[in-house]
Amino acid sequence: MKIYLDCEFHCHLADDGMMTEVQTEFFDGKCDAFVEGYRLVPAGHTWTRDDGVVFKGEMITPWKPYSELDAAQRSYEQDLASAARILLGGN
Amino acid sequence: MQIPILRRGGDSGTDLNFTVVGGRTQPENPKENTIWVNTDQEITGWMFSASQPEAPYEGMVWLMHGHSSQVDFNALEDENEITIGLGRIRQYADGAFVIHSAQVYQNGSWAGIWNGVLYDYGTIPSSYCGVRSVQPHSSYGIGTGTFNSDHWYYYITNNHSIGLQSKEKIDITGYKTLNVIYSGSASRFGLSTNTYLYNSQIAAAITSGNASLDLTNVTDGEYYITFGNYSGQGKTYSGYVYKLWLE
Repeated sequence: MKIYLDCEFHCHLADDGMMTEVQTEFFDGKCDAFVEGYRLVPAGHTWTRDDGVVFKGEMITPWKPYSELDAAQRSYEQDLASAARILLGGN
Repeated sequence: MQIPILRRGGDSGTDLNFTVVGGRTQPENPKENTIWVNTDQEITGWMFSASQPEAPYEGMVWLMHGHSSQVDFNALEDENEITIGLGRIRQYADGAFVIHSAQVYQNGSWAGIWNGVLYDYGTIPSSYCGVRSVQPHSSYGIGTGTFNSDHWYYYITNNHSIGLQSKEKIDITGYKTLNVIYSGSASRFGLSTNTYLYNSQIAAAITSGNASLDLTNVTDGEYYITFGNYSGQGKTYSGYVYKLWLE
């Protein structure tokens, strides 16, 4: 999956012209809201947390509360399941 | 979650069902629910809280409330009940909270409180949270992981996987960082919802040396913690894990 990183290493699905393109399998099967709640620090880069702790890439971790991302993903999967049932003629 | 139980001065008084004491020597003749903090700094007060106290002062002990604690008790002496699940214990010194080991006296014996360390140079510090060698990728059979005098060593080749993993899901409430001291082939460490790190990871990092993983926004809850790797056909990897811990 191709994603784009801003200056804070937040993941995006579209490039605003200032972002860095990366390829990753981490988000395969994940909805847009889930992807865009993550931070991906590529290998060779570092990110500094508010308390001064420095993290080296490669690192993939939520920057939004994971509970929100998980809820979005579950809703997405439920919508997919419902759509599949409709296509198959079920309830 | 903030539990509104705090006291300045260190003494629990007569209306609470526990006592917080400090010192380097285990107390003699302790009362039930004596919380002994292994510190030589004077305890000037304490607070139970799931999150870091907002206005700490020198000597203050922060007793973290945990979802799945190995030690819990009723904090009140009378028939009313506030159940405390005791997690990590920290004390405020020189501008920062420092983790201390601690024990609680219950039913005639002392029970240790886990300090976030899963593996420490050959030692598995806690019976509450042990580690084991596992298969961290569902598509790759289990390779070789061995516990040695001061490290865990792994070796994998030709479609195998191996990981050093917490025996059970760990309550990460309040922890902000997962750390590893390591040398070897580039490997992955992180949190997952089941035992297959590569199939259910929610946060992970890749490293060939010492590294850390930010957990600030991982939902407080319980997850497997794993350090592992997998090898494709014709590939061989190995490495040494010296320490794996949360803070």
